[in-house]
Amino acid sequence: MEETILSIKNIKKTFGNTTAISDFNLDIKRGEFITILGPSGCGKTTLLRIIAGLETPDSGQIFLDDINISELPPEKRNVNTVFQNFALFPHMNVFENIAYGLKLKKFKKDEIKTLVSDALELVKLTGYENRRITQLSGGQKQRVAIARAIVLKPEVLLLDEPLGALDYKLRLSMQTELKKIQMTLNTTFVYITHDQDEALNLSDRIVLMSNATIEQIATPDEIYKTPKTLFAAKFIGEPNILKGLHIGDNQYDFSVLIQNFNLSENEEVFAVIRPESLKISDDGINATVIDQSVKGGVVITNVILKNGTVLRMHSFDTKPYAVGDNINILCSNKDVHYIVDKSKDI
Amino acid sequence: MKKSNSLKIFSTYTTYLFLIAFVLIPTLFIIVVSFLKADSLGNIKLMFTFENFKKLFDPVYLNIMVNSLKIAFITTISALLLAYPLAYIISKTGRKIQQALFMLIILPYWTNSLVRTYSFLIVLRSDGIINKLLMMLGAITEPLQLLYTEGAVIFAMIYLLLPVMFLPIYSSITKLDFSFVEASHDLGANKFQTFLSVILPLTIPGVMAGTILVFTPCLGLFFISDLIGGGKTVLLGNIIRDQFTSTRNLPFGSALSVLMMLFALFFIAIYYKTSYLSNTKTGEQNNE
Amino acid sequence: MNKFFKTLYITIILLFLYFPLIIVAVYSFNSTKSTTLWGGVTFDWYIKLFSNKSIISALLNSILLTVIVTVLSVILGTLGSIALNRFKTKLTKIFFPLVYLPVLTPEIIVGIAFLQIFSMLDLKFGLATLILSHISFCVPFVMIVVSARLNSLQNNLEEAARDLGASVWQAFFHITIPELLPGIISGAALAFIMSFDDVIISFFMSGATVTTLPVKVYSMMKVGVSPEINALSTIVLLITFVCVIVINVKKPTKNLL
Repeated sequence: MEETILSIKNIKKTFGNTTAISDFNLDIKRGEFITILGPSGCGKTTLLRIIAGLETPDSGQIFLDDINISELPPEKRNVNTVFQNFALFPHMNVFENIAYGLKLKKFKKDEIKTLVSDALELVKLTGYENRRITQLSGGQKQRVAIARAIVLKPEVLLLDEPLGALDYKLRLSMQTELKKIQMTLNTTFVYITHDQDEALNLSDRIVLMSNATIEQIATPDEIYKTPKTLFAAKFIGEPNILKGLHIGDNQYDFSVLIQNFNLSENEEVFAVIRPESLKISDDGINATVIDQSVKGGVVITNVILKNGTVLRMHSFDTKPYAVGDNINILCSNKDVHYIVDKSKDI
Repeated sequence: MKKSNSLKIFSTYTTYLFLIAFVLIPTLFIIVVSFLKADSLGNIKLMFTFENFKKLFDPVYLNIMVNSLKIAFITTISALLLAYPLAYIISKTGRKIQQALFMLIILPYWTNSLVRTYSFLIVLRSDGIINKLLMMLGAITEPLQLLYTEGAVIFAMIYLLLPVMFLPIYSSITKLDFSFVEASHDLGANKFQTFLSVILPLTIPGVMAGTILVFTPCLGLFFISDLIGGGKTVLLGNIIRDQFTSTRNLPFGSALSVLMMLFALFFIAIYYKTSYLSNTKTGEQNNE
Repeated sequence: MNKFFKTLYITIILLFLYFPLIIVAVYSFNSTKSTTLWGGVTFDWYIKLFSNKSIISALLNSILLTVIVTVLSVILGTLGSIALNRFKTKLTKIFFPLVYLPVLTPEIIVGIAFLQIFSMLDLKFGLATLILSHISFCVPFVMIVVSARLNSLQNNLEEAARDLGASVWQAFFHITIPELLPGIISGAALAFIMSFDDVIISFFMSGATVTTLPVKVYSMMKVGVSPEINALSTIVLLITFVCVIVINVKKPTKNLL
């Protein structure tokens, strides 16, 4: 069941003086929806191009079904790509675009016809065969790009920010559809995005990248609740991050929110508290409300502690607070995640 | 991906080879020859000298050069003054009419320059249609000597090069983002102020490109001087040609050509400077 | 400026540009030798023209030259625009400005440069020297026009084709060439017209036996005005007008600069 389909080993790539990818290792399982998430310029697109064969790595290997494909040109790899700008051929119509790869693989005419219409059905564009590319909307171009890639039944489908060019509403509905297509075909998807919501909604696993390196590989739930690095914590959601203070006796003080937290001596620690983990409670510590707003049904309250720390809390509680109100807030120990990250500072 | 891409190797090698053989070498050749001595027959002798460049300051040649530059200058300015309003008016017309007018202005640009020069000659002759019309109207009694004057040469050059001046100016005006113009009006500028402070600066690259494309040919169009000027108005192009056909002094002819290239380079340098300035003014952004 | 003045201005300019050409064309059918007095319609000058062997041979030379130059320029120019825009090497920066050099160099300089080089190489002046010199100024123009088209395309279409299973050359012939076609056609039209019309460079490159139509016309014009030249000019005008209108080269000329 848990068979590895794509294995990326020790991939390195530099462009001039900039390192795009430094020592990248990843095993992708068959049928997995894996997302490579990171800010722009973190090397994620380069990685995708290396898998596709459009870029040559400086070192390292790529195995597809245990076969080393590192030296193969793109046309010999059984992976296909959905490009960010769609890269549809303007001089061909929808049918010709989707049929192009099949023609190169020498499929028979009637086979091509059936396969193309199946692919169009899957992306809900039945009847669009003879449309010109210029006559399509952004969302329709997106669907054609997906159909063109999946019609070849690749072992792995690579998607480079496929929803980046679409507007917000279309993006949401396309997310659902992409997931459906992936489930139907049971194809391995390697999906690139800088959008954390997309990654959290779609993925079986997320590979979080920054500055050419992997920050964390985990399921969406894990990466949200237990980020391994400060970068991971800050990139996903808008958590409160507190730096632990040494207060003697191996005790660290997180503004008296958390008690009895033991650490080895001189160790610095960061506490990550998701805004929804902060609750109003009489046992809590005193804080002053500095502002409050409502966004998408969530009440966002910013409070300031006596020591000057500003915390953000999310709640569904509609009880309005006026700026300057004093409230008591608490966070239970189990909802606090600790990160020991010596390399970075808040 | 395989490191060696046969298409890449084939296309880059062919292109580099072409540019070296057909562009770089001929240009360098002229420059080198301009520093060589001429033998008694006017052929090249492999000896280094500055003599050819000193000869440029001979009053005979200096006069011709100054006159040629003057003609080029008047032609360029006149063409600019005619082409700018033309391009501006045409850019403001409706789509269909604009396309038709654009085509009509540009069409002569594609037609043989010699034929166009000849047609100008036909019209200006003493028994040509202009003189006949003027006499019929009673404006003159004797035919005017229109041909073989410096004015006729300048007129013919404007006639020939007007579309060349029009093209880049029109292109820069149509590319102009008119929200700048609206912003300027919005900020209280009147039409004239807007033109001076917004439209003109933003279309300067077009004006400069037109100037380059008109000015240097003006120095070289020897057949205009032959046909319209009757050989009386001598251009830089005529003396260059003569060095290779009648007078025969190849190194000196090359030195004259180097001088002409320097004039061209001078304008190109200004062009780069102004287009750079206007690019920074419009806030052109670099993509990631 | 009100509408009347605008219309007047455009009319005057168009009259200035077209009046002389119309006169030449109209009087090429005039039965008298004059370019003012109308003596009735005749085709004599055209008949006389086509019985002149040296003119016919110059015309055939010009056509042969132009066709060869156009084909070679399109091939070299298209390859060049791909090489300089898609396959960037360390040398690209050095070679790129060279494309613009012939566009900005006065024709007479190109002419005398090749005159000297070819005489030094002891080449016989004729069709070969004409072809070589014409290529030198036509190819850069094709490169510029095709590059404009190339740069308006998405830059990863070839990659998409490779990704779908095409080899380098399959991607080139299936995707790159069809996508560039409008630019290639405009470039071909430009090369055709420039080569067919060229006087100055051909003037230096023509041999004792081989000459082009414009050079022949030039030598006839220097002798004096004649109705045959009117007829010949009208034919040359017609050829270019038809070429331009058929291929409709509006857009690429805008991209030229």
